[in-house]
Amino acid sequence: MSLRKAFLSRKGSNSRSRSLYRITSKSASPNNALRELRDLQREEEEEENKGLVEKEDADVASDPIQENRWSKMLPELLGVIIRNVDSTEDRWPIRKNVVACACVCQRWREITRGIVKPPQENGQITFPSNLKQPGPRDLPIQCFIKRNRRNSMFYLYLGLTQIADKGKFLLAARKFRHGSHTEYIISLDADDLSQGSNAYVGKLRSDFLGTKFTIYDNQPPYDGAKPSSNRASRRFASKQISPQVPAGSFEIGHVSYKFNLLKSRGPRRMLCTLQCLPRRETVDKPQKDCNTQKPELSVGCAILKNKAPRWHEHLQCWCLNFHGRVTVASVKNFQLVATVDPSQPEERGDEDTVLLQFGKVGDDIFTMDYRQPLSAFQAFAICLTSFGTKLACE
Amino acid sequence: MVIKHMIEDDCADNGIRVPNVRGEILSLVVAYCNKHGPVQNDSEDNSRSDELKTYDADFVKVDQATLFHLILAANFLNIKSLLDLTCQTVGDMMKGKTTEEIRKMFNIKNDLTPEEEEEGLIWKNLVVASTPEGEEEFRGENQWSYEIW
Repeated sequence: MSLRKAFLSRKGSNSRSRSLYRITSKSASPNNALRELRDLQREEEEEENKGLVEKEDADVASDPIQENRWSKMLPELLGVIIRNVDSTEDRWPIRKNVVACACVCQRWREITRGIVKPPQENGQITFPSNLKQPGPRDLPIQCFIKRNRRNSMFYLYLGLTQIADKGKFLLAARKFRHGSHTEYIISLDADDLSQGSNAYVGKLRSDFLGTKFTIYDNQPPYDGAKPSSNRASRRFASKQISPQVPAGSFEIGHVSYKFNLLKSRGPRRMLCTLQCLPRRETVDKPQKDCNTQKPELSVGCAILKNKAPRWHEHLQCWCLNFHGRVTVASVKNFQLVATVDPSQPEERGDEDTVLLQFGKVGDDIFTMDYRQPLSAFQAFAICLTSFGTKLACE
Repeated sequence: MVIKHMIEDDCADNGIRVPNVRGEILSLVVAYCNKHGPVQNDSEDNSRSDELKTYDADFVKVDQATLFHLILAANFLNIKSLLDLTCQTVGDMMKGKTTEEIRKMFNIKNDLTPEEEEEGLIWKNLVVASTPEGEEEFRGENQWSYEIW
């Protein structure tokens, strides 16, 4: 049969199902069945030869049998399709195709979520939920922050190029000054920075001097986390998120700034404590409780401090090696290393590995590079403290 | 060759049809296997692979219903290369489309619950340039909405 003929589908596509039914209902003996089968074959061949009508797409669309067949398809097959999309569209802006798949219907969402790996594994940010998951272990995710002084806004972008000129928008923050403290509301929507909106993801709160900061997450960082009792958060709780998730503000970290008392004219000292989910148990450690559904995860606390710059006698300035990612000297620039890191074996931090790097590259543009165990949200909040602290060098 | 034998075994037995695969789809699959089946010696590799690529590209220029049935058939008959080809084609069809366009194209009903819709969020894709003019240009082209979960 020629391919062209094969493309043209038969007019009465239900004839086959009808005939099959006929066989099963009528067959009394094997001979009858065989005869009927041969009759059927002859019938179908005749139909094919009579001349076929091309089925139009309109028929497919209005046929109730055809609706949803692409969503009811075997999950493995849908998985193959979506996995292809995930692996080929691995950079923004074409990564949006993966997100588009995840919004089609429940089935597709389930399958896409199952396929797309977290940033720790693929170094990619695909969904908003990836913003609260740790970055990769080896190579940092490169982002940049744009500041708008006029409206006290900060915008975080995932960098698409080496220089910070093109990016995928991730988060926005706005500074709100209250009497005794300052708050930065962090949101997924650059136009909606209210705590009651669905886009709200967390906030940063500072004391009056800007030396102590607390980072709040609007979602519990781990199961069973207790929200901090905060009148403001309770007021907005009813509008937020789905009923299953407890609303509220959850303290997930602290940042503090100090003058460097040991060295005169030294850069300020930063200390950062963060709640981090440590690595999952490795296979060689025996599972303590095999009956539980979830693996045992204890919440760890990461302690980070800023890497001390070296005094460059010749240049008469403090120097840090930013590997080209920071090009303008500024007291805001910093590199954070871990002293305690629950995501590493033995929980000790490697003081040479820079987990968060932040620095100026233009008037209102700053690069931000982060990696495990920090998430984009945590990194952004910590960088905002650098804008918020008034503590400069002595 | 193995696949070809399998097909021949499946459908040649006393004229019993493969119940999950329609006649015309089966013939397409057989044609594909016939084209891809024969093993080559090395000297012909380059021209043959180009020839196959062209064949494949034409092979998948079918209507959506046929593509759907081809995927199911390739899966049922365990023909990996055909499955990959057809799934890749579907992926290509979806490129650059918004969610609503994908739904329309494949006639899929939006069954997300009201909660899931309400959690709906605009994750604006502002692909920005560092100059204000550049920003305007990108902002126009690249906005779409996604849902948060």
